[in-house]
Amino acid sequence: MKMPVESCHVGEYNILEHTDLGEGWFRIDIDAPEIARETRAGQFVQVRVGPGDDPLIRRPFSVYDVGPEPGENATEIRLLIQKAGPGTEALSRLRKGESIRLMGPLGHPMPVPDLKSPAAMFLVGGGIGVAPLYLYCRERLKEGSTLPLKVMLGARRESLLIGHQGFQDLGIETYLATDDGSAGHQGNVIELLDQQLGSLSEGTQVAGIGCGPHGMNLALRDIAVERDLEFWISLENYMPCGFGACFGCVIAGPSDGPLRYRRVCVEGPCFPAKELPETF
Amino acid sequence: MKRESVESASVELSVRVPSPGGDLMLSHPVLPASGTFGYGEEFEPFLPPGTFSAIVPKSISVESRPGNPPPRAIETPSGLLNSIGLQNPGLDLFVSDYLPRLQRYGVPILVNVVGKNIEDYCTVVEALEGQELIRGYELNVSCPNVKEGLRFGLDPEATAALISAVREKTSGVLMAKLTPNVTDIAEHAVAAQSAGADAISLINTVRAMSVDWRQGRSRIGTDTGGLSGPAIRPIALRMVWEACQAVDIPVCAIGGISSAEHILEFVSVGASMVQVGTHLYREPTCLPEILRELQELLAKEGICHLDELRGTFGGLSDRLPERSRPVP
Repeated sequence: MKMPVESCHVGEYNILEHTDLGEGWFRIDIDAPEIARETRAGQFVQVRVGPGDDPLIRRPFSVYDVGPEPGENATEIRLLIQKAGPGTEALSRLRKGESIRLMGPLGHPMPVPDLKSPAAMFLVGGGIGVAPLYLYCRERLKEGSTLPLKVMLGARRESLLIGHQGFQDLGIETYLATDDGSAGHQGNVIELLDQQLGSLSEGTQVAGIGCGPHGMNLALRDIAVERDLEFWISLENYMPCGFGACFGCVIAGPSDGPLRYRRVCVEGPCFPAKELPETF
Repeated sequence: MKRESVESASVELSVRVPSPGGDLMLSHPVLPASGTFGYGEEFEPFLPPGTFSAIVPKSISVESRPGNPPPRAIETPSGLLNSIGLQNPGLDLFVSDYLPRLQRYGVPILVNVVGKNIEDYCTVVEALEGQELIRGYELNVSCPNVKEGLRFGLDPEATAALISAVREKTSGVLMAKLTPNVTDIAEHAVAAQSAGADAISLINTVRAMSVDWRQGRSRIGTDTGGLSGPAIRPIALRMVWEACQAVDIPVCAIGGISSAEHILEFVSVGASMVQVGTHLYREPTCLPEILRELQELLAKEGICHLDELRGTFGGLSDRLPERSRPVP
């Protein structure tokens, strides 16, 4: 099969900034020009946690942003990380001036559908899934895209809605949902999407990309299949290698076809919702 | 005894593996471990796959196999527990779609073969005979993650019968990949050599498990899996040493190897070659650095060829109980 990237950089890079975002979230900005200029939204980097054998395997992170701007002039990779285990815990202790081993970019970029007006392009993020959506918006704005982006973000409570201000600062229509109602719609982000879909004028062409926790991804897949919507879902599986060699990060193919396992790292990480089985 | 150091460029790393069809000459002792190198193409973004002295692609069976249900891998302390289940495109697609690319790398290919029975192994080998750069086969008799995977590997007589049958089909290098999940590895090594294997490789993964006690479930898609990585290196070293004492065919060491130091440890207990596996996941570009280090370390010790180091580990073998090793 065709691999998503022709060249991939592996090296040690300098941390330019570490920003604590509260609630166990943090952002690190890394000086990595050769990775930054080749990275497109939806692609990820594999991060080596330390020089030793424990933790052993690299951790995959979607690229949250590249700086100063996406494209040829980018020199920085920005990662949004949530502490979730010993690997991310160790990464949270890295500070400005220290180095970090990166491998990337990896995986396919997120698709950019060609929609005819009237149209709506939904970007649905849950928790840490917000990360690749921000770069996606920055890229579309930079290229002067007319894709009508609507960002919908969900979290348990307001303090966990990390990064939403960034979308608003870009001038993107942003909708929020929290389980406790502390910000935006009280409920989950899928209900919010459902409402929005219902309010669209007849004949609106709809597409979307979702990236979030497992439950959100499952619900998004169901809504896309039921209503025959052109949605893609970005998956985040445990990836021993991240470049297709280990066959460890697979998901099953569509339920109606013969049993076939696809590698999330090189065939994804973004898959058409209709090609995902009912449970994945 | 400390020798005078030599120029690192003058250190010779080549390895010779004799087979009935002639010697296989490898430019250096480092191969990728089957199952961790995909089909070569996955490494193209990182380095020319032909940097390895030979390619050992992921196992090929007669029929295509979907592999095991996810999750297929989980990290354990200094180790990786996997249950991939030999997902592979099958013989026909391997020949039409994968082999031409592997041949472009310009180095010998040792095809890792797996099967449900002896006929399966023979079918794959017969179909691949005469293909450009296919210089031999690694017979996988040791996968712990499929039902029939250890049918051969746990029984030295069955291993021997398989090797004898495949021996009839090829004069290329036959390397038997042994499982560590046995009591006496020497018995299995001897069985492989007696049946006509030109080399043995060990160890395949160690059967292991990881459970979530709250859910009462395995953390991977099957109850048990195969453990690889640094956690198993001391086990591999012990088993390679025991195997090397029992046979005189070349032994290819596998198990948690990630540096030149590790390679030299294995060579000192008798290994001729090594395979790097799990480490390639985290550092796919590691090989040139490892080879440079290998030459430097040997040069510093005044060792001009790996043969001078091979088997120099003395051990305290007089402490081992006497035993006879039955030859099947």
